[in-house]
Amino acid sequence: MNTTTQFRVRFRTILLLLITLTLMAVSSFSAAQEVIRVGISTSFKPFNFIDKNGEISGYNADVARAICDKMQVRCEFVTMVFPKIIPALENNEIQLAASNLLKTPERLNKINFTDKYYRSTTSLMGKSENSFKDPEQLLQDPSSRIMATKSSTQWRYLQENSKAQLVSVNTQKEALQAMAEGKADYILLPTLFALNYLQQPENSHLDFIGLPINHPSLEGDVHMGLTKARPDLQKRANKAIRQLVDSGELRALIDKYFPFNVY
Amino acid sequence: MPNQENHHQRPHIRKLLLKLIAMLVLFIACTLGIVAVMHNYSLKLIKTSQDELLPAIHDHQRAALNLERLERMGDLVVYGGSITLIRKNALAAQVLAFQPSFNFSPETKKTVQSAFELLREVRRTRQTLLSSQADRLSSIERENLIQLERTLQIRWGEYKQELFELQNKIISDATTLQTANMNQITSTNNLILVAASAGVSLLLLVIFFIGYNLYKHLITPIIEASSALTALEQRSGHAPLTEARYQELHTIRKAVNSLGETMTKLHNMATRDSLTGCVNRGYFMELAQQALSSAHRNKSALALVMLDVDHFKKVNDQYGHAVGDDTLKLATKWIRGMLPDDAFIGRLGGEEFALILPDYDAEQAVNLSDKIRLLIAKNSTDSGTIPAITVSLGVEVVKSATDEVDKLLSQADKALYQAKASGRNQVILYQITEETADAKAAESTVTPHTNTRLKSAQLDGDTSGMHVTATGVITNFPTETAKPQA
Repeated sequence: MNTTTQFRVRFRTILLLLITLTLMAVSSFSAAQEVIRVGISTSFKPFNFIDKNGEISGYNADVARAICDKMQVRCEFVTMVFPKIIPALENNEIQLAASNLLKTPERLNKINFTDKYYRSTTSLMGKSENSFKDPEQLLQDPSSRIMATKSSTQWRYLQENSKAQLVSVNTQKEALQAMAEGKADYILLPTLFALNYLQQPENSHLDFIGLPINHPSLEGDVHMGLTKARPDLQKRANKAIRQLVDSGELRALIDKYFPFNVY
Repeated sequence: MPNQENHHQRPHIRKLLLKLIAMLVLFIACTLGIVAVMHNYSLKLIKTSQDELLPAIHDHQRAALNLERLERMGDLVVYGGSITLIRKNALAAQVLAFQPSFNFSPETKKTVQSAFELLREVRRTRQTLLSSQADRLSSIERENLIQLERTLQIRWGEYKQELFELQNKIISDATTLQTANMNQITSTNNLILVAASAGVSLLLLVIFFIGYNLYKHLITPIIEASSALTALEQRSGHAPLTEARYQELHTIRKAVNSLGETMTKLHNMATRDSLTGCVNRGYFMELAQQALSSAHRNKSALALVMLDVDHFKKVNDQYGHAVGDDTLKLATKWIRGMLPDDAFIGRLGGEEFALILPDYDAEQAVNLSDKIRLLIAKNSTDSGTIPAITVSLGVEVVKSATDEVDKLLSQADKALYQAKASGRNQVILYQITEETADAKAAESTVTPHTNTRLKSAQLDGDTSGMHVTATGVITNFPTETAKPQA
């Protein structure tokens, strides 16, 4: 009798302990679902834009979501203008930036980079009638008015290499508006963004001016930005990108937004 | 073992074992090291192929697909029916033509970009032709433009062919890369296989070497010691053990060797007469019994001879015991010199000796006995150290399978007694047992063999009374067929 009672007591204790442990494990698991804040701008179709449902859409947004999936973390998008992106990474306000970042030595001091997720060039965009002009000449012409987004590599390039009148903007939307209003003649901008814009029938009065600008700082691999506060993210994000490349998921995303393979 | 004998210290077995184990461990460590290095190398290869070759192959594949898209865009620019379509595809073609994905091959980059230059011209020409401005053109201008459009279309056809070939080349480059990658992996695998089999062979060699060492330095000395101990136990001799390299086995070797020596010494002390070296009475009886059993078993002949030095008491009295001892020593030495290998001589007491002669029949035994008698007489006469002596001998042979040592000895003794009684210095063969004849008859059948040489020397002129000569020893010998029991 005595031993049976003892056994029962012990059994109940063990059962309770097991239940507690299971609950703790479950709760800690759900609590451990890590959140990563992703900085993104919104006026850069087809990379990042607000779609008709009011949701953040585009290649950058989709790739960022896919990376978070692979890393088994939850993405939380934080929209901000492009010039705010790098400072936000530096402050660890955001951990990941899906903002078409080319790698520069200056940026390397401030943030970490993932491996590339596509490749890009830079072109000059302007009125169709100027499409056969030489962009290099225009860049050296003090009478031309050229815009670029503040703190972009294009802006930096203009400051270092152009004798034209330079106008900085916070967003591409701002730049396009300024050009429509005749406040500037040209925009120096990522070619793939320009392509999407130019391909819209209503923009047929605009065109690429000449060929893409041939300069190493303006073309090449495009990366996601990472905060230096989380050095662990780099390896995980790279692994996720590699998985996306190997599985063909990234190509599917590219096909969704571009007329050819941009990786 | 006394320690002072080990002038140079031998290594211990422990050392041998440690050496062999160390060797094995070293070898295994080396093998593992090599395996680790190769594994590392192969991992590096895999990493290289993952980090460099695979992306390069993918780059080629992407470039080939993009070329195809460029061709399609070009077709739409060259043959498309609406300005919007031409514009859209021309823009895309421009971006694609300058996309860094063609940078891996300068040749591709150049071809693609000049193809784009053509498309740009086509676009301009066809846009002009299709636009509303076309109406304002003169017919000649229009004709020229159409002519230009055709020329450009033909050139585009050529470019397409070029792009198509380029595409094929890129794909075959990718295949080459892949093949090279595969070859590298295969050759690494082969290398690993070769190293592994070499390692296994070497391991076998090492194991063989270890086995050989254990066999030579451990097992062989133990087997030798063991068979030497068995030999000692059976009191047969053993070859001295060979040198052992290791201390413990050396100790065993020395112990076994000295045990053998000691046992031989003790055995001799227990079985030999210390003065003459003959076997003593007890051991003689044992050996005689063995010889008799063997003769019975093999149905072979066996003779037993009793020998007594004549008037030995006189020698002792006259010359002293020392000379008496010498006399016995020399006499037995001479006798032993005449005995065959399997015969032996025992000292039964005082000056009385007995011989066992395996395979000797009566005639041979009497012959040998007489030779002994003659030799002792001659040698003692010639010798300057002992007095001239004679011996008397009584011979008996095995006649029946039931004969026993005691009986044979007593019968030989009887013959000896007869020889003594008949004047000594002679050989008498026992002929009849007491049970079948009376003493007189027995006496008459005992045949005296007298060598007269000694007697004539001693008892001058007495030879005429003897009817036996040296040769008569044999002629007077009774035939073997006279069996006492018959």
